[in-house]
Amino acid sequence: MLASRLFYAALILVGVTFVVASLVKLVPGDPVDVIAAGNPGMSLADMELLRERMGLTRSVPEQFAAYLGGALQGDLGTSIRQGVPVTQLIGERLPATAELAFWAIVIALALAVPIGILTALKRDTWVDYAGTSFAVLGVSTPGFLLAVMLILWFSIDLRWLPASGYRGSALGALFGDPLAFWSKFRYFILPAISLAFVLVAMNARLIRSAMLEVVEQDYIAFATAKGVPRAVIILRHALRNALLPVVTMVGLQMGGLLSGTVVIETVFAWPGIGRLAVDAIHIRDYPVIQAVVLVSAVLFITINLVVDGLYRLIDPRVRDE
Amino acid sequence: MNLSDLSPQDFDALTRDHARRHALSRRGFMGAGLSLAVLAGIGLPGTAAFAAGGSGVLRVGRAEEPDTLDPHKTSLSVSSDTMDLILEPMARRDADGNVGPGLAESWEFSNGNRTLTFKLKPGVMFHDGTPCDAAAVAWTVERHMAPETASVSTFFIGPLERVEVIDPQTIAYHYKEPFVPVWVGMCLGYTAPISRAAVEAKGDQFGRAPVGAGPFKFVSWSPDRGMRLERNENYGPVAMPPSLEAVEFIHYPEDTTRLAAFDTGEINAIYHGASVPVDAIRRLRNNPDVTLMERPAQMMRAIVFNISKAPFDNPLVRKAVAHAIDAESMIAFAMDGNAVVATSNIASSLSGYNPATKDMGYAYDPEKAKALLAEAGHASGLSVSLITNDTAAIRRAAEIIQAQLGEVGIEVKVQSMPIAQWVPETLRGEQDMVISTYTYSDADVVYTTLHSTGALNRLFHKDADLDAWVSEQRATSDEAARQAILDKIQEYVLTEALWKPLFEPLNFAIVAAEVENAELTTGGQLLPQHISIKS
Repeated sequence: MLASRLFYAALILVGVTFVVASLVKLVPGDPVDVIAAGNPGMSLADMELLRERMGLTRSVPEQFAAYLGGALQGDLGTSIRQGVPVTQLIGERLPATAELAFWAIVIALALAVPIGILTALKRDTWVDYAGTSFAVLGVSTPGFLLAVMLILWFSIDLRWLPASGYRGSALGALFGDPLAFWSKFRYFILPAISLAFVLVAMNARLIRSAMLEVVEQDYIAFATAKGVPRAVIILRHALRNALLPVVTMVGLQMGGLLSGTVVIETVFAWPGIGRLAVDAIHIRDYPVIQAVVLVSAVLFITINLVVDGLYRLIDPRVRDE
Repeated sequence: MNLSDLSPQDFDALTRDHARRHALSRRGFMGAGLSLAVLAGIGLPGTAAFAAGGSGVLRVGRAEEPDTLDPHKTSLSVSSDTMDLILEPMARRDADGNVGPGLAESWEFSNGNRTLTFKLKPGVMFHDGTPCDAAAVAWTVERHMAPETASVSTFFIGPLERVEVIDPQTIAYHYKEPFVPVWVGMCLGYTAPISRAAVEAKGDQFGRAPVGAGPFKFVSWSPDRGMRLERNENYGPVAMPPSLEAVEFIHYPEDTTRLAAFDTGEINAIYHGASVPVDAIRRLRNNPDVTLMERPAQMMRAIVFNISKAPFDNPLVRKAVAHAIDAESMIAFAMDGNAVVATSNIASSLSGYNPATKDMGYAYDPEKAKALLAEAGHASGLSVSLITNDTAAIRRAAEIIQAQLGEVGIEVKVQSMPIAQWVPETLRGEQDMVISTYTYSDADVVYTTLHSTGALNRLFHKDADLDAWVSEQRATSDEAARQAILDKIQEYVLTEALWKPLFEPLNFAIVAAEVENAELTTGGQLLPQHISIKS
């Protein structure tokens, strides 16, 4: 079972690598075009010489074969513009993206679970209407707008939180130097809330509908009749079953967040992988583009495997299959 | 007049004058020919204006981040600005573009002005303690020119044949031909010596931790905290050490966030390129706590017609477009007034600009535009395509062009794309018009933009006369004669309506109240080595 999944995962990765390697070459313009556009002193002859020296005159299959060969040995190439190994660039930026994704999911679930449960239990009351309105607001608010509003309120007007930047891992501080936790975590708050807002709305709606379905089930009525306390019924019997679709959704959301959230990273000057990818696309830094996509694909596949594992943990029926 | 025949003093004077008048951005090159030379030796203005060894940190917010700080691996101006602080070029320019000593204390031209011999200041050390002498300079130049380096910035050293170490303090640069724009590169970090020991020790990481002999030492650069440079206490043999204790560069890609960081005091300066957004100028100008500096930029924004096909193969249609566009209202709406109307294909801040073009252009006159269109057989209107790059100001300009041409019956289909795509896409020549942009420091920009083999020419013409004039201005050493040719070119471009010049933007910088001695250079930078912080 696991072996076949891993086999398909490897197949997907090779496919993704090939598609990206081909697509980036199909897009008009190469790194030398970008350099020449900013340097009118370069002649057409200078441009050709540079293309040759950068290895851009080789055929696409030749470049792909060289890339795949390197990738299999863990060498994702060297950035054309920054001149350092791509693995180094990703290594510098992935932790910032990953931890931001983590805090965004934590905030999203911390709010979505109670809202989802409450709105389900208080169906058709003002609590439900308020929760649903919040959900509609959440999914309709563009992330960049919320981000700028948060900066205006909390950074410029109230001066409570920094407007932008990243000052290292808050999780690392939590386990290593708890006193430094706040000084680092405060940089996460606004970007994490900006990312979490839409996730709260989506997940709360999902939990609400799943809960509504579950609380109608006979075993809930049975547990109630048996005199099981209401809190136990909700948290242990109802929520556990209602969480199944949420786990799938959160897995997908985590995968999306780990691939980088370009807009939020840009607004908050967050040194993440999304900005690295977009900058690389603008300047046609092929090795960086390919590597970011490859790493994102690996993360996505890994998360999907983890979600499968969680399913087995939460739902005994899956385990028994 | 042949450049080789000029006296070395005259040739040096010519190169300095070229550098001063063409200062600006740093991209310029290409050989406009002219004349003459001297011995160096003017002091750097401003260095004595403040006490050295002070405290204070200049925290600069920028819209862009360097790609690498290896001077041979980058051609980005944001990298260049940063390298200029860490590395010590042979010469330096002041805020007004005047050339003065840098690592070299003096120099002279010889051998028919094909050899430039520098006398280096004694006792200069790289930040790692190794000597910054003639051998170090020679090794750096050889690395820069080596094919395996695949340098993207070799064009900054010009037609150099070789360098020769004469003694530890003397080095000669032997050029294939007299090279007038020599100071454009020689005043920049691109050509400055770097520590061989550091390059060999750090390998491909040198660009992340460069070692030079400049006024500030590189300390750190990480994606999360930006970059920190600290005062080089041993800068004495070159010049007085800076007053600032440190300079920090922080990258804020988003305008709103950068300005918020300034408002909250996280940073105390914003400069470089478009880091001070034009949309914010009005607010900043009215803020008494902010010092706003501005200077004309050597930039051009213009419509360039594809004259190889209909409808713009007909001069009447080109003139109709020129009359239909109101550049002043475009500046008001697209740039919030922060630009000047362009009257020629050469920016007005460039030497070589023809002031007579002010009276030769096409005034905004929609009725005349309609009449010209009718005369050209397009009374019922026509549809044309326009390709632009995707920067915000250019996109707005394109929308205004679309609206203004729409009023005279010309429907414009605008395609906006990243510059990487714009270059090859517009080279195919399928469009009717492009918005062409350049930043350049020399009127020789006419070669790249007008000559039929020019890399940025989007006219698609076959005009032997124009090609001949453009080539001739490059080879003319007499300044008045060259100006006459440039005048002729500009008049021709206007009378034939090959371009519709639109506007020339301005450079801006802002600093907080505690920042003193800040001055915006002709290239749009501040010089942190001259800045101090009020305690």
